[in-house]
Amino acid sequence: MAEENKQKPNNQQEKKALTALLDQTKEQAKALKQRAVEEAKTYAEPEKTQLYRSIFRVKHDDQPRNRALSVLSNVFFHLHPAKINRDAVRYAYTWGMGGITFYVFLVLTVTGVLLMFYYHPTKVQAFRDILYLEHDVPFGKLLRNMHRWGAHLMVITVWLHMFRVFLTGSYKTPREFNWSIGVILLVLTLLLSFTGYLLPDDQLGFWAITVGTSMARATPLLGHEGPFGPQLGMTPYNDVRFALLGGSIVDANALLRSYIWHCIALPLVAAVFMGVHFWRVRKDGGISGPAPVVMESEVKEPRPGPTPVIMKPSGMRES
Amino acid sequence: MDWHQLWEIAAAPDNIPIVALLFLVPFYTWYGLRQALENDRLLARLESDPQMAKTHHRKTFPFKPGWPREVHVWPYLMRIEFLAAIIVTFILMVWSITLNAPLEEPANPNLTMNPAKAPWYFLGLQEMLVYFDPWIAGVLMPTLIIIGLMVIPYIDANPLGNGYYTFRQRRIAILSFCFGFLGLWVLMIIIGTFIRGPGWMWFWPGQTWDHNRLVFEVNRDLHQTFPFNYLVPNHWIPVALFGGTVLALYYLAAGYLVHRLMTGNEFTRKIYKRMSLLQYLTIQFFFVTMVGLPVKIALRLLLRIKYVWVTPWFNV
Amino acid sequence: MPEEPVHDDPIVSQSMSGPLLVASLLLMVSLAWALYDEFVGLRPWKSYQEQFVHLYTQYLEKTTTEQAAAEQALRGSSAFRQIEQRLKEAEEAVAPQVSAIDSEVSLLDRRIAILTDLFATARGEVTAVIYRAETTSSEARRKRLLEQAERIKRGPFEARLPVPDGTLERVKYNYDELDTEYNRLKARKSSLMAERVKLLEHATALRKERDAYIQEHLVGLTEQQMRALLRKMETFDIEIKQIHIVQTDLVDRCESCHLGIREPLTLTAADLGGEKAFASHPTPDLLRVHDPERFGCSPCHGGNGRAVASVIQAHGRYKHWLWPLYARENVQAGCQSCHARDMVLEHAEVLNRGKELYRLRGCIGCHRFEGFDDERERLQAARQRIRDLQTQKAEDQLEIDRSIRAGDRAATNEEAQRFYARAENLRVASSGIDAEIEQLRLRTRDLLLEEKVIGPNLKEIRLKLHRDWIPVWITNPHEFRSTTKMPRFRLEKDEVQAIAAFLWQAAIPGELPRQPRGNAARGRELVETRGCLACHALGEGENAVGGDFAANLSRVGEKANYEYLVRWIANPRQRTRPYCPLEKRDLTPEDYAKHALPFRFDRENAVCPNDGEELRVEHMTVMPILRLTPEEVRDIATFLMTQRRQDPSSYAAADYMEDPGLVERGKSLVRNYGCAGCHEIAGLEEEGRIGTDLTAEGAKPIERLDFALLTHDAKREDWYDHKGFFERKLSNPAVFDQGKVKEPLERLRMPKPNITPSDITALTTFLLGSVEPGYGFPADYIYRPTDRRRDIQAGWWVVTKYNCMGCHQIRIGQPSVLMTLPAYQTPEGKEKLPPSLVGAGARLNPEWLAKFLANPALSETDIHRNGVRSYLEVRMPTFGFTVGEIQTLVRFFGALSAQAQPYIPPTLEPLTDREMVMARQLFTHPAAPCLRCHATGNPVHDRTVNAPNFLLAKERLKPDWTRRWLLDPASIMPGTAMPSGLFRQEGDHWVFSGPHPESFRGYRGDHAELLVRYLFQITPEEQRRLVGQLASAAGSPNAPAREVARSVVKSH
Repeated sequence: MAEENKQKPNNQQEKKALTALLDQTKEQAKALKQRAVEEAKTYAEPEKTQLYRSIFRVKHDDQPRNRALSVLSNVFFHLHPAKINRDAVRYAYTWGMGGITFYVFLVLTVTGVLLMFYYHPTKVQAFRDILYLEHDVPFGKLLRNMHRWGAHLMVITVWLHMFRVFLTGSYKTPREFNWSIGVILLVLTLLLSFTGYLLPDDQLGFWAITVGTSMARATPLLGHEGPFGPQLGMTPYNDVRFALLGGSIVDANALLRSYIWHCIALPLVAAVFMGVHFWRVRKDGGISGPAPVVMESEVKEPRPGPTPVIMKPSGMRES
Repeated sequence: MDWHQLWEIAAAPDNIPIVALLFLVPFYTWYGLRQALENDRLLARLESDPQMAKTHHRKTFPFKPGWPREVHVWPYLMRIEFLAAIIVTFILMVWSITLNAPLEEPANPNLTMNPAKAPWYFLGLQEMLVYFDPWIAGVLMPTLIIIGLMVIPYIDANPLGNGYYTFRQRRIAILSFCFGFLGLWVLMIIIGTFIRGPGWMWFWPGQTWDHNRLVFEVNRDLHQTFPFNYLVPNHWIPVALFGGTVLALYYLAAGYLVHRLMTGNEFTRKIYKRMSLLQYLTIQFFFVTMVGLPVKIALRLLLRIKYVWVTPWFNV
Repeated sequence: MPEEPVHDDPIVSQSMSGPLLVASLLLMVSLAWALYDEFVGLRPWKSYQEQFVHLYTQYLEKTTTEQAAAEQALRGSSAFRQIEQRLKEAEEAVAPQVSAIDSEVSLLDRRIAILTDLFATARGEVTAVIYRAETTSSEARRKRLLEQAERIKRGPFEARLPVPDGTLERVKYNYDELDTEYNRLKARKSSLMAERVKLLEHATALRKERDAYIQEHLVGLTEQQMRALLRKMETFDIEIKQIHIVQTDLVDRCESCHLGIREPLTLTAADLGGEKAFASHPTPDLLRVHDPERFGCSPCHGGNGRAVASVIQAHGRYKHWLWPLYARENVQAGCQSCHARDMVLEHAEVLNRGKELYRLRGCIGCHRFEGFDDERERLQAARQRIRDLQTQKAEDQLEIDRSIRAGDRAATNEEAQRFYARAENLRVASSGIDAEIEQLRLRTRDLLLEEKVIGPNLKEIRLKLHRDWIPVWITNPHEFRSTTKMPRFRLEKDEVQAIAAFLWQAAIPGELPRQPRGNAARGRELVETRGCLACHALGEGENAVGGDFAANLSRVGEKANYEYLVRWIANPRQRTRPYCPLEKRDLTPEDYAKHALPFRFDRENAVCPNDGEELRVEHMTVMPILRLTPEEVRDIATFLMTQRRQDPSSYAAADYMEDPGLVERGKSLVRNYGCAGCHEIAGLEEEGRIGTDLTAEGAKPIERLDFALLTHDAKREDWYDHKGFFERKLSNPAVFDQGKVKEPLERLRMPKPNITPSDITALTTFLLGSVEPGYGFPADYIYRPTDRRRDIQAGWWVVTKYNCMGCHQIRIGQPSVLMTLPAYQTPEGKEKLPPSLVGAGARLNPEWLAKFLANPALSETDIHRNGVRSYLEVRMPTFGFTVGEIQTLVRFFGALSAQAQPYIPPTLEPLTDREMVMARQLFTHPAAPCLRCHATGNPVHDRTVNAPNFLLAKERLKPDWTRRWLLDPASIMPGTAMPSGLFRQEGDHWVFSGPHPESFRGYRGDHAELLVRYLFQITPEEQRRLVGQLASAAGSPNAPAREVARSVVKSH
């Protein structure tokens, strides 16, 4: 009996407390919702977020200044100047070959790295691995084809690039040096392709390399079949060809060497020279043209000394 | 006419690049020269009309006052680069899906491939092996080519045509480069691919590549050919001397012709004056040497002459 | 100030969205294409598998019902019902006990489950505490912990365990109790299970029996199994099915499309919608021997096992794949790659035929092939070795003298000793060398005898042939004899004349002693009965009768000389003159005269009087000596002379053959065409083989096969491969000279072999498979047995070399030539056949066999008969095997019937007197009169017999085989005259089925064994006596054995 009496008031007290608590939480929930909604609104314009700024450093509305910044402040784009000669964007002038070459080089790097996952440069496994790539690896065939055809494509584009640069006389002052670097890059491209040839270790590659390197035999002074080679004590076992192949015949060592040249040494060197190449393009005042034509009559008589000097014709801008 | 054979060569996956060259190179040559000629016409007009020369923006491309001389890389260049990237990727994808990279039998040192061809981009040099000893074709020439290319900017004293296509202002330069690039490099590659069959023998397009084909040709050295075979005693000293002299004579003669060429008209003479002796001699050397190739090729193909200069250590 | 884009400026205003959109779309398309290519284009097997699942399921559903019906019928059968019934009874008999056990077990299981849990927890807690105790440092703490462990152990551990009545009982254990209880329950359970098995033993056996019954009587699979297959199809997942053999890194995915290959039931293309790819393997037996899981597919069949992108790729039928799939008709080439050393191979009849042809058609004469007839090579090797040893010996001798002299001169004593010792050792060593040389000499002698050639010895044509016939033959052998082995050479007329002239004039001149004529009719009979027809044939074309191993005799009469025939038939090995390999010429009587020796040469006198070299004293022919009497010989020869179409005189006279002027040219031609490869020709005995070595021809790079001017046609018409080359070359060896301009001597020399299209396929198969080890398959797959299978390998070479299979059956299911002849089709004829050698190894005592092979007459004096089966007209000839060959054959037969090497005859305890009596009675029992059919050596009696003499048994047979033979001859040699059922089984031993004689009462021994023991000690006298009794007792001795057998069978 007594216990029951005691309980009743307690119950009522509890009820009150409960309702109070309930209301309080309701309040808080509403406030929270409010805040969430407002915050959500702000996401409508992401470029205002800290995350965005941290990545892109500046906000990019379509202001001339920002257009410039978006290039300058982007590690990938900053190879370019902010602004360029209005006609330089025309395909007719550049043929886009330089850019395409670079792009293909990137494609080759990616596919090449993927291929490296599946390839062992050993006599036993090399050929087997190619079969494996062709028949087992998902997209392996595509991968290999892209790498090979990409390599061919790169050779072609490099040549056309050089051709264009010559036709537009872009190697002339102040770009002489960059042209020379370009030539080196051309050679590197060919070497890259050549060293890759042997890797499948099939008849095609084997004999291509055999023919190719057999020329090294005939290197003057350094080859055992070249002029004055024998006189200088060159034999098949110490001449330059031996150095290239790591042996007197195309064999396991040759495979390993061409693999290392192909996958590590040459790409690194090429990358360095590319860096210089692009950097010089910028430092030599961007791409050469299309520049205003210059008339013969405007060519000034040279000062004594070999370096030719050109007067600035009107309408030509500072570079 | 053996179409099947022709198709076999052209359709070989590894020859696709050469087939592509067949179209790309002529196209771009035309594409470039066309602009060159336009510019030349413009130049002609400017020369004739000083007034216009003062005001004209000096490009064949349209230009109106008020138009910006420069545009933003973003988006005007970027978008083109982007487009190019997409297209190249597309081409590469289709190419790779439709054509398989060749994979032949496992390497077998005991079984010589016939014809054993170098990678296609070196076929030019391999072709040169027919006409020159390996040490020239395989070592000397590549070196000279590389050096030659690298020195171009330093020997080309012609200040004009920097940054725009032009032919009139750079006749010699352009002609000689085209001669080297198109005639001696690309053409040789095409010959090496389509013409050179088993045994590196000469097969006209559409001729069947027969592994058993036999051709009879005797190649004699210059000093053995009439009338020199009577004049030159058959001992290495006179032979070497004779060859050396012939070569020297060639260089002198060709050098003279080149000189005439380079001082042909008043403009070229102007350029010639700008050159230092070193520049001039370098030009002479590379020029004459380059012209030497077709000469030697002609000697070989037409007169069946193997060597001009024979010494105990090397032959040229 | 920000510059606004000017709107008429094309560069700025022009939009690029259009091109960008198009390009991006194209890129997307190409990506989609790449994906499609990856998942569909390059994965044709997916559709194959879907199709297979569909078709196979259909097929299974169809057949399952049929099978089910059949099975039902079977289950309906009384036999089955019986078993079922018995099974049911057996099960019911033990049902109560079993169910009791089951219920108890289930209860136990529940209890154990609970206790396990409890016990595990307890143990965990205890061990943890103890571990801490073990690892703690302070002694006090340790004690405390151990006490704690004790406390825990004391428990109590409580659990509520189920009890039979379904309620739960509350139990309390301490740790140890818990432990014991737990283990007790487990033990109890296992004992119960064991008991259960014991109870059901009988039932299980019956169940097995029942299932076995179904398995045996049902053709194909049971319904259950079919259902299983169907389920497999339901849960079939589309994926590459591959065999990967790790140690050889072999990957074969053939079964990704060929899904039916290893299905348990035989599937034909017709069963599965005509899709060939789904048919199951034609010879499952082969798969049993070569388990695909161990051998894969491509090692045997070729093809690119890894590729699955397309049929062409997978079958390796593209330019740069070196190991394309073998064509259907050449599929057995795959066997050759690993089994090159097997002359005869199960399941590979085509290949076997190819190898046979390679040898019999004389390909081997020009083309070396590893392992084929390499006696000459081994001979040269042996001679070389001898020379080396001799030089070494000479050096040793010098060294010996030197050291002795040194010893004499030595300062100190022990130094001298040292030198002498050295000399001594060397002397011993060189005596060892002598021994080796002697061995090698014997070997060379044997090899000289073992070396055979296909063609006859042309040194004897003057004695043997009709002169004018020779050019006719050389011009075109096939025209004269359509079945000849001699290939046809492409010869100009003048070439033929030169060759003929050379051969004629190089041959040994002289005359053979005249011989009286014999009786042709008798001769014919002999040829037909003595067994000549096992190798030779009579009659031409359609009506040719006999084997094709040797020449067809139908026109011998036109070419041969009677006297020579007589000599030849009497002893084909007999030479006119011996040949000395060292002097490279035939020795003349003069050579012997020089050394005052009689002109005698044979196996005993085979040393050159001039230089002591081993001589060749026999013709290099495999034709054996038939041990015919001189009369028989003359009869046969006379008969053969009648075998002619036209008279020899009708051949155009060829007097130019006497013209010495032609000899030189002739010789050079003979050398050029390599005639010496198959014939022995004066002056060209040591000529090498002129053709290419074909050992690895199948692996030769295609570029090395000279298609000459046909290369391009071959490529266009798609036969530019080994198969194409071989087939065309074989059908027309000159084909690759087509259109070429060549000097006569530069032309392709290979003659046109006399072979049919099927032969060409066989040879092509053989060549295609002939590759070097590891070419397209792992090298360690090559079949190089080391056990008795090697004896079998070796044996076949000899067996085929001498055509044993002409007369004997050796492999089960392989008929001998004679068996196929009309004369031997009747029952009487069958009894005239030579014995089948299937199981000979089990039957015959090896020592005896060796003796028999050396001399089948088993006698030096009475030789014109068969040593064993004197009653047969067919004669086991004397092959003149060398010791080596005999050994090979003996081991071969032993190995064929899986006999242990070497054979140790069991010892039979001698008969007691009583057993003697009993055995004799059994032996002569009227119900089984052994002697009625078995020879006894008594000529009168032996005229009627058809079984060997018992006196041979002791030496000849193996006792255990003899016993098996007595019990059930029919199973050992179907169709034998020996009656079966002579004995019947009683418990563990066999007793005579006829009425037992008195003496047998109470005898517990095995009757068959008794008889065997008797037979192995029977003496001539004994036998003679018994024959006498028999003759008096039995009425006619001519009663055929079969009736006897029948009477026996009746009698029980």
